[in-house]
Amino acid sequence: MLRLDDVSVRFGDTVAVDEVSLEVPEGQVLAVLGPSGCGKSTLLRAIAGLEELATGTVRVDGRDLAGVPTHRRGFALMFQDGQLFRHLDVAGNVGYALRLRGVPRSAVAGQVEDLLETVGLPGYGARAVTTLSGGEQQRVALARALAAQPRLLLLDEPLSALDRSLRERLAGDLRGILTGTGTTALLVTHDHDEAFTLADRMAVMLAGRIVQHGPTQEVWTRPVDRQVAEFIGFGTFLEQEPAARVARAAGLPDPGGRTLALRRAALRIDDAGVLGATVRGAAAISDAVRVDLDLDDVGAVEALAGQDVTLRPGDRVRVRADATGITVL
Amino acid sequence: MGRHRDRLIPALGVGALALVPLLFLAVFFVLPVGGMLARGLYPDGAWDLSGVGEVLGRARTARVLLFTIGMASLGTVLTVLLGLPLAFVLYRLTFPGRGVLRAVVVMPFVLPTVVVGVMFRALLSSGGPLGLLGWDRHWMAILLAFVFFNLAVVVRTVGGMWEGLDRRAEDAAAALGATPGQVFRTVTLPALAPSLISAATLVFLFCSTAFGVVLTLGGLRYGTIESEIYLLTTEFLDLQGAAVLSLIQLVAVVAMLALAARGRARTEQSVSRARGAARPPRRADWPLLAAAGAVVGFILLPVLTLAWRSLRDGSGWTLDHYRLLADPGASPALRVSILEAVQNSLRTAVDATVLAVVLGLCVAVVVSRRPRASGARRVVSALDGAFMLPLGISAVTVGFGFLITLDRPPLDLRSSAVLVPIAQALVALPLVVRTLTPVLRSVDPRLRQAAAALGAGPLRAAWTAEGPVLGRPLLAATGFAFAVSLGEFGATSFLARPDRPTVPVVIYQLISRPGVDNLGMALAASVLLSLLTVTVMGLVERLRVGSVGTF
Repeated sequence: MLRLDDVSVRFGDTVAVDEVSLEVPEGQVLAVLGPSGCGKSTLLRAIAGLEELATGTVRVDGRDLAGVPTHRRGFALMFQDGQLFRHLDVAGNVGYALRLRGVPRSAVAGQVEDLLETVGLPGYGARAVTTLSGGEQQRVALARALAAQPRLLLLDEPLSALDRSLRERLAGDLRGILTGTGTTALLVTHDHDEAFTLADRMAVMLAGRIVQHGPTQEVWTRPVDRQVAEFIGFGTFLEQEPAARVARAAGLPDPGGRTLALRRAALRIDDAGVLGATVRGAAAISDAVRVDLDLDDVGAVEALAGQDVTLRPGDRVRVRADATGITVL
Repeated sequence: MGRHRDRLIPALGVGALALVPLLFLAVFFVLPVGGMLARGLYPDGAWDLSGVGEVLGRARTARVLLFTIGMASLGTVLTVLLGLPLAFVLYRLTFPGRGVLRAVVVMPFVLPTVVVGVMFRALLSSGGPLGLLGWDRHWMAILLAFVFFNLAVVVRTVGGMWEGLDRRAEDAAAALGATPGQVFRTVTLPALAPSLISAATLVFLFCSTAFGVVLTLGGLRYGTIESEIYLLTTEFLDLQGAAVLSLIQLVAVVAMLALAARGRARTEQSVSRARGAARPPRRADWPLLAAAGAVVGFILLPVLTLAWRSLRDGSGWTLDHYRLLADPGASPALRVSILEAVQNSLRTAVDATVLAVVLGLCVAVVVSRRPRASGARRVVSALDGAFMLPLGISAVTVGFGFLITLDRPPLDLRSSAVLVPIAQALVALPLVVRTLTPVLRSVDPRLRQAAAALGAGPLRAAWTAEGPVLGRPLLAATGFAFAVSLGEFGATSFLARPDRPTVPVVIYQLISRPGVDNLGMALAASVLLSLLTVTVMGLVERLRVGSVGTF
C-alpha cells in the first residue's frame, strides 16, 4: 500500500507539489486528475524517487522510502509516449527488467511471450519498436512495466497520445489487465475519461494541491467547490432564484443560498420539459448537439439535444432538467 | 506542362547554386590533389605503380603508419573518455557559469594548431610547470595536445545529442530496477551511439591528419603520415612516396567521413527534442562534476601557462616580449615585424571568410534540400560528403598541390596573393557547411509549402521559411570561419610568401630557432593570436547557435 504524507517538491522558489497526502490501497488504481502544469507529473516523479522531496514522506507498506534510490523501489513507470528503448526490439524492451535481475535467457523468452499475450501482441517479440503504431507502443510499454512485477505501477498520461477510438479501446484493456493482475497503480492525467475508466479512486490536483480525493463516482458527481466542478466538466453555475427554479424543475430541494452546478447533460431539449428557452446557437458534437440557450427567467445556460432536432437561433424550445447532472456546491 | 515547369525551375536553380562551389572545389581541391597524386603515380605520361609496392614495403612507411594509427587511436579513446563526463555536466546539468564553461571547452578547437604546440612546449619544456615530467618533444606531448584540441568535438557533438535526449527513457529504466551504471550502459549509451561514433571518427580523423601540432611538438622526430608527406615532398623530393601516402590518407579519410556521415544522419533523424532535460546537480553527481572540473583544469593549464610565461624572462616579470612584436629587426628568423604579420593574417582571413561563407551558404542550401527522387537524393548526399573532404585531406598535399598545378596559364597563381585565402577558405568551408546545414534542415518543409500555398513563388517561399532562421547561424559561421582562417597553418606554410607571412607561420619560424628571445616572442605572438581567435569565438558563442562545432 502506498501512502504519501505532506509531500512537497520545490524548484527554487516555485512549489510544484504542495503538501500532498494520498493513499492507494493494495490492488487499487488511483487517478490524480489535474490540468497541465498542476504538478501531477512532478508528484509522480517524486514518488518514483526521481525528484527530491522538500517535505513529507512516501511510504510503501509502512516503510519510509526516503533515501531509497529509484532502482531499488520496485516500481515501474509508463509514459504517454511509451519511451521504449529504440535500440532494442520488442522482446528486448519487455524483457529488460528480467535481464537486469539475471533471469536466464530461456526463462526470459517464455515470460516475454506470456506478457505480449497479456497485452494483446502475441508474436511481436522480434519487431523493431520504431515499426509499431502508437497504440502498440503503449502496449509494449505496459508489458515492459508489468514484467518487473512492480509493487506499484506509475502511469503518466498513458493514453493521451492516442487517437480517440484507440484510446477508448486500450483504456478498457488496460483496466482489465490492471485488475486482472491485481496491480496497484497510480495514474496522473488531465483526461477525465482516462481517469474515469481506469481508476477506482480519484484525486483532483490544482496548482500543486490535492483539492478533492475520494471514490471516482463520488468526485465525479459531488465536486467540493466551483474550481473542481469547472475542471471536471460542470459548465453552468446558478445562484438564488434561477438556481431554485432549475432545482425545482429537476425535482431537487431548494439549494437555499448555495450554488447549483450543472453539466451540459443536466438540461435536455425535450417537448415534455417544464422550462422554456430561446435557442442562441447550436453545434454538433460527437454523439449529441450542444445548445446554447437563454433559459426563461434564468439566463445563459448550456444544454444537449438529440441529433435528430434542427435548431436555429431564435427558436423557442422546451427544456427538461435532469437531476443526475446537477450538484449543489 | 505548367506543373512540370514549376518543379523544374527550382530544381535548375538549386543545380546552378551547386555549380559555383563545385567549380571551386574542382579547381582548388581536386586539381591540386589530383596533380600531386599524378606526379607520383603517373609521371611522364604513363602509369607507374611499381613504386607503390616499394613505398608500402619500406620499413619506415610501416613505422609511420603504425605510429599514426596508434597515436590517433590513443588520442581518440582518451578524448572520448574525458569528453563524456564533460558533455554530461555541460549539457545535462544546469548551474551558474555553464555558458562560460561551454565557451572555454570550445576554445581549443579554434586555437591555431601552432599555438597549441607552443602552449604545450611552454607547459612541458624545462622551466614550465610540468617540465619535470620530461615530456618536452616526447610523443606524450603530442597525445595531450590531441586531446586538448579535440575535446570540443566530442563535448559539442555528443553533448548536443545528449541535451535533446528525453530523460524519461532513463527514468523508466531506473524504475524497472536498473542502477545508474546499468541505465547508462543499456539506455543512454546506445541512444548516444550515433553521435559518439560520429565524434570519435572525426577525432580520429583530426588526430591522424594533424600537422601543425605534430610539427611544433615533435619536430620531425616522430613521423606521422602527414609529417612524412611533408618530409618526403620538401626534403627528399620523393613525390612518388608522398603520393602513395597521400592516396592512403585520402582513402582512409573518405571511409571515415562516410562513417561519420552515417552517424550524423542517424543523429539528425533520431533526435526527439525533449523539453528541459537538464536539471540542477545533485549530490550523486559529484564524481562526474569532479571529473569535468579536472578536464576543464587540463584545458586551462596550458592556456594560463602560455600567458604566464609570455610575461616572464629569466629575472622576473616583463613586457619585453610584447615590445618586440612591433620591431621588424627583433629576430634574424623574421623579415617583417609580428604586427605586420598580424595585419597580413587579418587581411587574408577576411578574404578567406568571405569566400568560405558565400560558398558554404550555397552548399548548405543545396545539401539541405530533400528531393523526392532517390537519384536526386543520392546526388545531394554525395555533395554533402564531397564538401567535407577538405576537412580531412592533408594540408600538405593541398598546399604542395597548389604549387605544382596552379603554376602555368591559364591559372598561374603561384606568385599571386590569392592562394593563401583560397587555401584557408577550403579549410573553413566544411565548418561553415556543418554550421548552416543542420539549421536549414531543421526548418519544417511544410512551412515552405504553406508559403507556396499562400501564393509565394519558389524563391520567395524558401526565403520566407528559411531566411529568418538563418541570420544568427550565418553570423556564427562567419566568425567560426574567420577564427579558423586566422589559425590555419598547414597549407598556409607552403603558400605564404616570405615577405608576407601570417602569424602562425611566424610563430613556427620563431620556435624552430633556438634562443630565449625567439621563444619569448613566439609566446607573446601566440597570446596575441589566441586573444584574437578567442574573442571572435566568444562573440560567436554569444549567438547561441547549437550547430557550431558539432559534426
